[in-house]
Amino acid sequence: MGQGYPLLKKIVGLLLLLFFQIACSNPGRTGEGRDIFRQALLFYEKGQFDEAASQYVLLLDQGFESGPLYYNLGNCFFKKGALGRAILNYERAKKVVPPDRDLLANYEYTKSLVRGDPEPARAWHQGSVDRLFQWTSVDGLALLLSGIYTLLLLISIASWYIQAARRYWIHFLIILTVIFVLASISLHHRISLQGKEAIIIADTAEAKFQPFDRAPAHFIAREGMKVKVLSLKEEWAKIERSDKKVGWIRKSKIEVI
Amino acid sequence: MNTDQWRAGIAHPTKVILLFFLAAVGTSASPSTSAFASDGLEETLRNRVFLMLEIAKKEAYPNEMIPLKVRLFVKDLSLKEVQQPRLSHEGFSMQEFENPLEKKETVNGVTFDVLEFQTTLFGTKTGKWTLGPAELQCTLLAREGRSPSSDDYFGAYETRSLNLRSEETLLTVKPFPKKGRPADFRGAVGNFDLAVEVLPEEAEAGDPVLLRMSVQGRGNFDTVTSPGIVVEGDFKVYEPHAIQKKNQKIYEQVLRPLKDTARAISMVSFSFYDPEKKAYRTIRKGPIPIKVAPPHREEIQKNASMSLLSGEPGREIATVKGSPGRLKRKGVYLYKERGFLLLQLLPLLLWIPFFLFHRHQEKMRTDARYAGQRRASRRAEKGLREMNRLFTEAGSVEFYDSVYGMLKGYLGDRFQIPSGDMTAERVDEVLMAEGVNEEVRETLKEILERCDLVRYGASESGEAERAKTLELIKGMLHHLERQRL
Repeated sequence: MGQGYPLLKKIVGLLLLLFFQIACSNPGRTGEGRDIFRQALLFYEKGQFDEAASQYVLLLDQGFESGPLYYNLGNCFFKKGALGRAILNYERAKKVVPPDRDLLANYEYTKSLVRGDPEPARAWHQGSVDRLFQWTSVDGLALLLSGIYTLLLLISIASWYIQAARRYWIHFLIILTVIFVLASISLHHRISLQGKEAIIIADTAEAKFQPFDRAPAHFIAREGMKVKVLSLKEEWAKIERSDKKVGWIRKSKIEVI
Repeated sequence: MNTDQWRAGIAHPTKVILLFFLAAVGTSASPSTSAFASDGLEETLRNRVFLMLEIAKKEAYPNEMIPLKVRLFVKDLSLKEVQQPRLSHEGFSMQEFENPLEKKETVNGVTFDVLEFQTTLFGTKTGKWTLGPAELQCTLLAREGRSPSSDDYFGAYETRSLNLRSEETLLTVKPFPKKGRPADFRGAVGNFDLAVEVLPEEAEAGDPVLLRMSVQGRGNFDTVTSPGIVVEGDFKVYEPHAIQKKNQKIYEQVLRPLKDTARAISMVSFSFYDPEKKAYRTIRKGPIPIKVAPPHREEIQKNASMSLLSGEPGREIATVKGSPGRLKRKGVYLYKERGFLLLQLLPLLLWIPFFLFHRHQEKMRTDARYAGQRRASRRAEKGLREMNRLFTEAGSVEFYDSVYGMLKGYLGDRFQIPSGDMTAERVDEVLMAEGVNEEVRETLKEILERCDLVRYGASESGEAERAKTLELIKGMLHHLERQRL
């Protein structure tokens, strides 16, 4: 970069520092978190699922989260027979880490034990885009977009100086741009759903036409069902089922993912 | 009179009646000249403005919809601010009047302008009831100073408020006949049909099913209540929810089969009284079978509990993770992290120099002027170094040879002057065209002349002169390099 760009050097230096800060910021390396996690594993192995779950919840209450943490907590709830909470924690794990085979297997199996969600009424293209990137987490999508963007810049540089790269530049450009756009749509969709999706954790819950107990029931929301939270009113949440049916349900019957 | 035969049969008009009250409103006219001089006024108005109350029938059943009209007849008068009619209707429930219709109608050979207000009402209690009188307020306009007896009696400019009143009418609300009254009759009157559907038709025990019952037809939908249902087996039945539409009322009722023994909705029935046929009618639908399967979840949980209790593995889930992985702060995502977002600038910052260099190369390749300028700058830099060296190490001829060679190359690249065309006049001409100022051009001319003199032996050059030449060249090049051409 030479002596002529001191400002550029400073900016790059600062960015590299930030990068290493992000890469190295791993509170999980703290001994306390590891100890709690280990303790929870011991309880689980002994079949003391309540105690194990308490340990995982303790770690979560300290403000930490990770994919394995939610996954293990989901397993505890599964063992206790609380399938709604198990699905809730598997869903949370999927948000934090790219779902591995174990997570997907347990999630699918647990879903199969409860009554499935009604046929979703969302647009086909949204469903397709989401399915395309379901293998990764929100952070994974952000990294993917960042990687594609960097790759596009690198390929443009290569196309200026390398003959072979120049020949295929346009193909790469089209393919990467398409992936970039689709991943952006998927990330935007997931971000827009942050804090708005919930799982029914009660065995069954009546969704009513109005937010009061004596209001007529509209439909029954079953444990493990994923719903969208539209609004909140005192002790009630207005939810939308995947088939777009809307009703009011007590807040205590759901938990936001 | 052309009495309409409308909707529910022959109308029953009340007798024509006109009661009016006159009061001067905001007029400055003296009584003697007023258009509303009271002499003969009532007689004049009697056959020119009046109100009629008409009902479609004289006898009805409770809740039976009865069409009603209030009609304002006007002949050659100007009325304004016509209010909605008011009607005494004790024992009846009446809807708001619709927007009035304007018509022309002939009564006893006289054509009137008619303003017709329509509504419906229904009796809420049995008995003989007096309906009306209908009253309507409006304002009459008349021109001042005209003779009341003339046809042009009422013209404009003076206003009087009129309160028109129709006759009363009697209407009997008969009780529903006791004979043949269905047990589930709840007062619905009209002519209806019933459609029923269940969604879904197959369910697991504990799953909700929706029973949708649609009552449609003609009649009083305010009195239509939810159809009665009879279920076969263990169902939990929730309160129905009504959706009112035009000529249709839909009841949606959630039912939950509690066990797989729940079989069907045996019957849905709706009873009403048909006033046209003067008979009760009951519409029955069903049985509507529902396939109820045992609860999937219950079975699996039972099996799972048994396998856990017995220690048998059964269908197990994948085991727990031994490591917490990368623990991070809850709710923290990369896309929200300022550091991550700033990091996205890094590739761009690295890319920019490559881009600028690439653009430079492209311009060098495609833009002869740009390339010439860049070459000229390098040539000037190199030439000055060479001149500095020759200034101390060589004689004056080598020095001026070097000066001439550098200037020739520099000017050729900088101003695209071919070397064969490089004469003092040509150079001066090009520099002038490029906007180089005269002082610089003179300096250049002086240097080139000095070069010629020394190189061709016409003159000697001392060290002081060479130093001066060198300074002149530096100054001139500095000026040309700074000048945007």
